[in-house]
Parts: sequence; structure tokens; C-alpha cells
Amino acid sequence: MFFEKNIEVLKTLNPELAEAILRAPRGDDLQILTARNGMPSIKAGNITLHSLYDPKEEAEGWVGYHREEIEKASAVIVLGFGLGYHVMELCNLELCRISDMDVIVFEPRLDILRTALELADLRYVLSRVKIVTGDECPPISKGFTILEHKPSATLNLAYLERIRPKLKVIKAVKNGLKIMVVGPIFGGSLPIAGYCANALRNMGHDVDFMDNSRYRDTYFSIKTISGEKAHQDQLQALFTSFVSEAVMAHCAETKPDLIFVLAQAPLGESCLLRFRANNIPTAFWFVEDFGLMDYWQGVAPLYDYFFTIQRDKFFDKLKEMGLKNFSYLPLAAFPDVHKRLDITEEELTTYGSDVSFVGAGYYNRKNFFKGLLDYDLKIWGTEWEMYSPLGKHIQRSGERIDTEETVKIFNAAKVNINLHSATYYEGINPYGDFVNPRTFEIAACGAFQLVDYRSELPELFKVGEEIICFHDLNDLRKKINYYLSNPGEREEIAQKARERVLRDHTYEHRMEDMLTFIVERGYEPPRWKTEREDVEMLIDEAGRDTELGRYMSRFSGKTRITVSDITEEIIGGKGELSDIERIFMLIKEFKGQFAPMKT
Amino acid sequence: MRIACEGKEIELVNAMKNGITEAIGITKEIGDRLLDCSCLLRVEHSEEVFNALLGGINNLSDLVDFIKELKRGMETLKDYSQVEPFLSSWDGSLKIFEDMLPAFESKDWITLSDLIQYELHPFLVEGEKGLSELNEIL
Repeated sequence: MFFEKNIEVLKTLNPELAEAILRAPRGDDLQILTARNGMPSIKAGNITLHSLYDPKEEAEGWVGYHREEIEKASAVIVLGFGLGYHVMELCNLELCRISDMDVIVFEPRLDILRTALELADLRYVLSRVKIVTGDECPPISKGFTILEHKPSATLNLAYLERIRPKLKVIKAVKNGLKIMVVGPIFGGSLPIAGYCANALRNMGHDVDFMDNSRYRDTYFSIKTISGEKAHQDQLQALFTSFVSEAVMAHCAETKPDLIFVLAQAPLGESCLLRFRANNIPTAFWFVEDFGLMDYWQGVAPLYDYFFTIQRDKFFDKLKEMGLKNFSYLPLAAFPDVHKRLDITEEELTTYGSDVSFVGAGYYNRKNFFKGLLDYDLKIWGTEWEMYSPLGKHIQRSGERIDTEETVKIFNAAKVNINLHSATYYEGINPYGDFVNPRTFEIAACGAFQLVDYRSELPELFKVGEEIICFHDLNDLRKKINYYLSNPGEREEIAQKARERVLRDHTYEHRMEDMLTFIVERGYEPPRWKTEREDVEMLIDEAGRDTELGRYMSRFSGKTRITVSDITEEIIGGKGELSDIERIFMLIKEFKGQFAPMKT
Repeated sequence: MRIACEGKEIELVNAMKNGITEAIGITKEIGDRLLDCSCLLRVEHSEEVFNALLGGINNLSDLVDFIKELKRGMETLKDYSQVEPFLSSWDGSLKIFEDMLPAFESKDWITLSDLIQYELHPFLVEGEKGLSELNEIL
């Protein structure tokens, strides 16, 4: 009776699980019993999963015991479902009823889940919780707590021994890692490195940004030292070696949990091999066209995790190389920078136009834009030819435009043209796949753009609603004319694009996806010998149920902690010292006596 | 009702009364501690809980030994038939211990908790009451 109703609900919410439960055979070790109060209970082998006297009262006690933790948490992970009494009590808490707090339950025994669905009406519970039966961890929000249904934990010891470390790493990542972001010396990935660093900071990570643009002048001066290519190459190799060594030296001092490297960053092979030898996890975001830049072949195997802006053929090649930990990570916008601006009249005169383009003068753009000369067209950026038909449209003689001004231009233009660069095509690359940063940046500004069609675009924006694409010059001209005469539609589409970017396409989303991927692929923070310890790890090591674990949980809010942090808290406290507090004070005394002399 | 006794019996009864007075306090303490343990055992499997449980069971075992001695002493009294009912509730203790042992060995902590909370604890409350009443009539 209950089963049909429960399984119907589950089919709509989690059809795969419903199917798995329907197929699950009853375990030979299961014994359904009736508790003294008439409610069902169950035994699996020798382990009784719920009280044989009053399972409901027991479940109330379980929730009562964990109430403080539940109230502090943003999400609750429960290890073990059993017949679900404790989960039902948890879901009945007012906090759970009125909030959208995630409740995720790990239960590997499908036959036990089936029995639970047979014995009680669990429709509300099923609609409220996510049940995981495998080893995968669903996305979990920051600040989650892990509660164990102890008899289920005893029963499923091996399973939970696999799940607990994963959750521990997720917790460490959510609480904030120490991440070193290594940027390039110059180029398009330089601002992206900065956005990634800032996004990670906004997410609560401790970020150390190795901004290698500080070496830009030195790097470019190499070509002025000698005209001979062999010498230039040698000097550049030495210079890369120097920058790599600088990154390693800095890394040894700052002890990051992860090194996140952007395309073109000057890290040599020996440096990456040393990171690997020391178990320091590294990730690389190749924000370039793999067909044009082939250096990925040399670097991809040297990183633990490799991220790309293209899939399909690129993935085939990475697979052929034997790589496993690679993932698609499209570009994005950084809304702190790419934002809607109030443009003054003066700025509108300077930056405004009917049609505008900001970017470098690539071969295809130089050709394609010749078809737009009759418009009020402004072209901004470098590498354009002043003495060409486009010359009178090129602003500031082709000077480099910084990000701040770029954002003003996006905001001031009625129609922003976004033509992806192509070296071998006259106009639009018919095989273009990845989406450039400009697409997201213009959208984040709430500005209107016409972008050449890219095969990855429909997955990122609703084409025709959130973004408008053109397929050739005639199509572009038609669309420019239409949208110049329909400012209302322009604004509506731009607004939708902006909302979409803020919802799905910021660098914070990308960094979240990047960290989720590395955790899924077995990321573990390196074990640096350090005075600073991760609080959550310490609590887990001490055991959450122990006196020390409970004492340490008062520092849960802090990411990392030292003995001094603890003793300062003790000194600032009131009342008699507990045994644990005495031990910490003693450790501090020892540290004081045996600390190395400063020289 | 009071037990009438004379000579050496008086000494024995006084000794038993002292023992019973002490046991009354201990019984309550053991009962409360084991009840706490049983509640914790449902939600926490820490060393502290298991140590407390072992401590409680050891204390209970000592208490049961004392009751056995007390019973033997009582049996020497002329009016044993009058005091015997006050100690009969303790007879159930052995049966509960018998049930607790396999639960303990198979790490079936829920069954163990149930036995302590719903069987042993009420029995200790009853046993303590019996001891108090016995003390009054001695």
C-alpha cells in the first residue's frame, strides 16, 4: 500500500533510484520486527537499526542530540537511512520545513530502502531529501554538517569508509583552500587569471596570485638584447626557468593546497614535475584554441587536472594521450568589473556609436568589417591598419584599450559586434566552437551584442532570446539595421543575457565547477608541514564524538588554526580550565621553551 | 512492620542495613548513568561512551554481587519469608544480563540501549524501591 505511493513520488523525483529500488532483491539478512509500540523496526544480520521499543522516540532523541549542529548548518548530510525514522524527524523540524536547507542521505542498501518504502508513508521525506546510494557526491553547499545514523554506519562500515574521506575533502574545499593562481606574463589570459583569483577570494578561499605581468618589460627586453633567434630562445628559456623557480620558491613559503595555472603562464616542465613529486595538486586552464596553439600537448600531461574551452575533437586528442582528469570549462564574466554603468553625455560622445567593436585586428576582422564602413562604426583596440579603408573608424590610432574603458564602450554602444578571431577565414569561422570572454563580458554589462554563431553557444545562452547570432555579413547587416530601429528589443535581449550571465556564467561559477571536478576526481590537499592546521581536519582526526573533537568544534568557523589561536581563546575565557584547556596551555609552554632561537 | 531479631542477628541486621543504605544511593546513580549511556549509545560511539558503559556495567555487577550476599545474609534470619519479596525484583537482573551479552558482542548497540533503557533501568528503579522498603522494616 505504502510502497506504490512512495515509489510513484520517487519516480518523478529520482527515476533512476526508483528503478534501482524496484529491481532490488530483498537481502537474506533482513528481518522486519514490530516494536513494543507497534511501529515497524528492522534488523540486518545482528544489527538492529531502530529501537525495538519505541523507534519514534529514539528518532526524536537523535534529532535532539544533533539539533545545535543542524541549526548551524546550511545543509545536512545523513549517513544511513534505515527505515527513515530519524530522517522523518529531521524533515519535520520547523527549520527544515521553512528553509530550503539541503538534506542528503547516503544509504547503500537498496533492499533496506525498499523495505522502508514498504513500511511507511515517506512521500514527504522523499520530496524533501536527496538519497545517494553510490559513491558519487552530489553538489553540497558550504557549511554542511555530517550526521551519522550509528547503526547504519556500523552495518555499512566499508561504504562509509569510502564516503567519509570524500565528504571531508569537500568540507575542506568548501571551508576555503589556500590556492595559488599563476598567471601569464602578458596576453589574453592575464586578465582571466586576475578574475579567477578574485572570484576564488570572493568564494572564501585564501588566494595567492602570482601576477607574472611584473616581468613583462624584462621579457620583452630579451628581443632587444640580441637579434639572433638562437640567443633569444636561450634567454627566453632561462627567463622561464627563473620565473618557474620564483613560483616554486614562493610556493614553498606559502604552502598552497592547489596551484591553479592559466594558459601561457611561464611554468617549465621541471617545475611541474617537482610539484608532482611533492604531491602538490596542479590544475591548468587552457583558455586557448587548441587548433591554433599546440603547446597543450607538452603541458597537459604534467598537470593533475586540465580544463579546456573546447570539447569534441580536443577531448578525443586528450584521451588519445591517456589523460583522464580533463573537463570543459567555458569562459565567463567577472561582474565586479563587467557591469552596467551610467554613461555621462561626455562619455557617450567619446565611447558611443551605433556599431562598435573592441578587440585586436585579426585577419578575418580586417576583412569582414570592410562590409560595415557605411555605419557609424567605431573600432577599438590594437593591431589594426590605420592606412586601410577601416582607418577612419579606428579609435585612438589603434591604442590598447584598458578594461575600464572597454566596459564603458560596451555600455555606450548601441550594437556591439562580437566577431571571434580567425586566422584562416575571411570572415566567420564556420567551424567555430568555443565562446570568447567578450560574449560574457558584453552580456554582463547589460549591453547588446551581435555575435558570430559558435557551436557551443546554444548551451550557454538561449540563441534568439538571450543572444542574437549572425551567420554572414548580409545577416549581420540585416540584424544591425533591425536592432538599431528597435531599441526596446535590444534592451530586452541584453537584459536577459545579463541575467543569464549572472546566474550561470561568472568566474565564480567556473571556479566552483573547477573545484567540484577536482574533488570528484580524487583531489586531496597536500600535507604541508605547517604550524597552521585545518580546523575541520583536526576535528575529524580527533573524532567528532571525542572530548577533544567537541572542544575543537568551537573553532569550526575558522579555516585554519594554530596553538596560539587556541591558547588566546583559553586566556580570554572565564571559569576553571578543563583538562583539554590545560593540555593546550602546557603545549604552549613547551613550544615557548623549545622554540628555535631567532638569529 | 518490623523484623524482630535478637543477639547476633542484631549485629548482622545492622551490617545489612548499612550496606543497604549505601546500595540505595549507588543503585540510583548506576541506573541514571546507564540510562545516559543507553541514550548516547544510540547517537554516539565514542571511547568515552563505551568507557562509561563498561564502568556502569562493572558497577552494576558489583551491586548484583552485593544483593546476592545480602540475600544469603537474609536467608539466615528467622523472618526471612517476610523480607524475601523486597529482594525478588532483583532476580530479573540475571535474565537481562543474559540478553545484554550477545547484543554487546555483536555490537548491536540499539538492542543494548533498548535493554538498558526499557528493561534494566525500570528494574533498578524497582530494586531501589525494594531496598528502601527493606531498610525500613529491618
